[in-house]
Amino acid sequence: MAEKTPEAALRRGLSTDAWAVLIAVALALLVRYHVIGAIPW
Amino acid sequence: MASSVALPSQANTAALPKRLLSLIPGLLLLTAVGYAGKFIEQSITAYKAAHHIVGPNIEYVLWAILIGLVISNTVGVPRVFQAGVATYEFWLKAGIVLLGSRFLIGDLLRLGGISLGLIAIEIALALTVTHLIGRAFGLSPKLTSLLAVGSSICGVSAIIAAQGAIDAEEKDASVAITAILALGAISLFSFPLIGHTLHFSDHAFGLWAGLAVDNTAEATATGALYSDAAGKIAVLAKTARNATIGFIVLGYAIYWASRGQAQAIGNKAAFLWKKFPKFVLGFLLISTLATIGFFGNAHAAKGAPLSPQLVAIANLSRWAFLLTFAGVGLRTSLRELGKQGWRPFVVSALGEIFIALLTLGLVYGADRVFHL
Repeated sequence: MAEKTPEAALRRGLSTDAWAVLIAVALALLVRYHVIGAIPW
Repeated sequence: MASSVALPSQANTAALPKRLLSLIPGLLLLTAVGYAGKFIEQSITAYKAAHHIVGPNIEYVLWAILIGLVISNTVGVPRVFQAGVATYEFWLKAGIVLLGSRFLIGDLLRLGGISLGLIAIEIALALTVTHLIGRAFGLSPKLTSLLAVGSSICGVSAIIAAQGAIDAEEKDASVAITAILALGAISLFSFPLIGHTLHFSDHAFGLWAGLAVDNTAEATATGALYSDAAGKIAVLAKTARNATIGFIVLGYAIYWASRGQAQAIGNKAAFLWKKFPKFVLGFLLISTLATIGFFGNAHAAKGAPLSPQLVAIANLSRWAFLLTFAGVGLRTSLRELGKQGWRPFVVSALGEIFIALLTLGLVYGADRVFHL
């Protein structure tokens, strides 16, 4: 049976969905706390 | 959409830097193609303004897809770029999560509720009709099931989810995916033309694209080709459609297991959770944070401008979608489409035409009732 500890999850790797949510939320927080400024388009 | 093609899934931590390095060439290609699309649109707009030329504006979305299509179908995408190009799916999902900042929970409930109602009707009729057409053309029942799931819900990710659950052959899944991708590419170009001909509002067109176009990347691009606002609504409707994957796949798995041709499902709640697209939760989280004012003023309709943070997050979402659109063109190979035989393609095409007409009628009706 597969291990279910966070370390085991890290070794197995995250799914694309999990990566997308993690990075998108991290970017939103960086913008919210002014670490990232204006993003031009 | 497959669940683990982009970032370093199933990698151990020691291999992580190497895996990340292998993504760089493809990421640079996605950026170059996407930015070229944006550059062409801006250049044409500037030229038309300078020379007082009036004409339709061709969006960067179409340019990025066309450049990608030309590359993948002439010189091809060399192996060194392929890992990075496959990250287009990651950018799509990250873009959708970030786009959550532009929806208040009230809008989500209203539009998501209307979408879910229409989706229920669409799925029931689409599954029935695809099965009837598949039987008429003599396709294997499991291939027909895959095509039905792909065309009624979410294209590639639904097909991949269903393949494992109903023990379908890899070849059938590959044929179904190819047919769905080919039709998605056709929808990209035909839907905006139909929408303009019928003078659809942005909301109505976005809802139609989200309900009728199969793959999330193509549905997003089709909406964005019509207008920015239509693109937003298309993402919302498509995301609501994606959320139903688990239920439909579970239904098929139970059906095939009852016939002794697939493994029985033990814990149904765990199965539903496993098949649920988790990025939808990220989208809802960001939308909730925007609604409670975490990112500053999100109520642009009340007169005050949007907060600079929300503008920045919305632009991050647009950049993520730009990379996605480049990837859509780069991974569409017309040669591969030609190799799969005509029958699955015809069955899917007939199913798609039915779904497009059905959803067109549904959206038209919803527009009259709910004033979208």
